[in-house]
Amino acid sequence: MLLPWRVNDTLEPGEATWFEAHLAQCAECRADLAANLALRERYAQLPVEMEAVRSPLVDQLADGPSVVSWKLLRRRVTLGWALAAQAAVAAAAAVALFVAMPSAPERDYNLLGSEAAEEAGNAIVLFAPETTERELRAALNAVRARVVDGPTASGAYVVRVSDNRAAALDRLRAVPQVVLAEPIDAGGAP
Amino acid sequence: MAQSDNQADLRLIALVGQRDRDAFRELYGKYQTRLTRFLFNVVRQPQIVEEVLDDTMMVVWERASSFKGESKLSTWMFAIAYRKAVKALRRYDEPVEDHDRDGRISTAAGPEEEYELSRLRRLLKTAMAELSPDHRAVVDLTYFHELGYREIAEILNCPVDTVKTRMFYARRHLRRCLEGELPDWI
Repeated sequence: MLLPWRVNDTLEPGEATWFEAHLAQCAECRADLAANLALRERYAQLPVEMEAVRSPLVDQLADGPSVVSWKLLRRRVTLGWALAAQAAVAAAAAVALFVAMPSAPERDYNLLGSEAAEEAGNAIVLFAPETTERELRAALNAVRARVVDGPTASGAYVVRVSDNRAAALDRLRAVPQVVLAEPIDAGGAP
Repeated sequence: MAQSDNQADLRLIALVGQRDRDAFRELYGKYQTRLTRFLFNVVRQPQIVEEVLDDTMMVVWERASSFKGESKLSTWMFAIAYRKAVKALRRYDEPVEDHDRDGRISTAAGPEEEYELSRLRRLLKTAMAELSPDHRAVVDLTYFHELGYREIAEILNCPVDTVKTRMFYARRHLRRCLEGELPDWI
């Protein structure tokens, strides 16, 4: 069972000593070791096409935080998330803090960077995963922000802040449960 | 990982925790290839790899200040990537097949050695594709990333015996698929 890690030379000193002693008297394990060395060599040489998955996230970081925000907005959302978003909005509407969200489309994903979201939202807020609905509601209510879309697959909400947006976002960033609060500008959308 | 490299990682993640974008870019550049290769071998679909890589780096960005150095930074990042990969596979809920594998490896007959190498690679990729994502993760972390089984257990959040067992069954599968192909194979 330890042989693969003898191959990559990561055994603890005691294990390595024991294994070497075992190898000296076990022809089967010596042959297995040789085979595994060959396998590892072949495996390490397997080509993997990786250029196609270069993420634009970090490349665009220098352009400003709204690019990161837009990345979140554009994330594909599965039907389960879309339904969760609907439920979240329904609950929010009941307490008159949120406006209605577009209904979940009858398809397996929803691009949140839709035209409607671009027109309505002017900021994105990402809450820590353990944030309760009460905490989320209190944070948004404190700055008179209303949810216009979300949550995305990353748990971000697109919100509309009517008052002083910069001040509102500063207040949101000061909330412990807020991971990210950034403006969304139409010109910043990719 | 060399001690100095680990110290460099700790310096980078501390800066990332202070929202230093240059440090984040440097950290991303350092791990992008390793993480992508790992994720590709686990999920085997480029569109999911991109999403999972993004998710992973977003978590690193958001949680950098919570990294306490109890494990190596690489272990922490690979563990995040693995969790995100598993979640993505569940979310897409579709068979994980490498649709492009034949296109990525030339099947054209060339010089005999090149042809044999290409054929062996194709056999190995096919055999790997037949393993579960969990088994592929163990093989990749062992053979390519050269991690010890304890660190792999930490990344996969499972007992070390599970890592050993997965590797045992993965090697048995590869052995069956590559019977007679590797010169030293018993």
